[in-house]
Amino acid sequence: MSSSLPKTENLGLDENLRYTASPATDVLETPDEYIVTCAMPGLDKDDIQMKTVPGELLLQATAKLDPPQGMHMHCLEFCSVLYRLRLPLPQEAIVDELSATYADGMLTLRLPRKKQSLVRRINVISG
Amino acid sequence: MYRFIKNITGVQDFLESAQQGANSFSLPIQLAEDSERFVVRSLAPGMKKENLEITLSGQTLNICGSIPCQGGNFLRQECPCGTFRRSLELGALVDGEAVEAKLEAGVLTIILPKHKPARSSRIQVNYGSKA
Repeated sequence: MSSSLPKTENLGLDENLRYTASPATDVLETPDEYIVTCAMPGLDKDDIQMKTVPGELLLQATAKLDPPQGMHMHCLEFCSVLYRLRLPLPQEAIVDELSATYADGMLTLRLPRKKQSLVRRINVISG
Repeated sequence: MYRFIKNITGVQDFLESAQQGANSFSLPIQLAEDSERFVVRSLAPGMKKENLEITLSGQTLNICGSIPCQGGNFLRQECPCGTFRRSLELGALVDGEAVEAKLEAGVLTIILPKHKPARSSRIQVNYGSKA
């Protein structure tokens, strides 16, 4: 059976042929911050490029997930991918205090929120 | 051919995941083989090794585990969480003692060396004393 299956080098899965995908993303809102979590397995943290422009976060990274070379493939449900994400940022987010960590294939961004100005009641005094 | 189709489509795992409810998902898989070993890779972002269970039953590799779902006020929620299960028919016996599994940056890699049968040896036939 193995001999009838294509070998990986015949599938054209090289550096020039990548899928582009938007990573699965969670955005969690808490009273103090926004927590953005992106599922981006197979990266080294140094491969992640990120920048902010007014109102948006731009993110890009390439995960090298090609199958082992020279082996017969029985199942190929993913390969190398170029992750790209364009995420609108809430107006309350303090972009200058953005922090990022990458662990277990998940990128976690923390964006503190601006403190809401306290509502002050103003008494009207009759003249 | 049935094994090939089953591994490609993951139909059975998909149906089982659907039966288990919304908090379950299936892992994407790469399964490669050469004369010495099988190599299985899977994407499991957010997975901790203590929540992962890999078993070998005959020629079937089973991968199951869970990723805890968080609660809270989500503005957007796409990351997979819940339980998952994936079974792969390898089609050959493997040396269970030599299997290696590694979880790195959300990528699970399992290397399964094939079971090598004992080398054949020639058996000398001797004449009995009554010959």
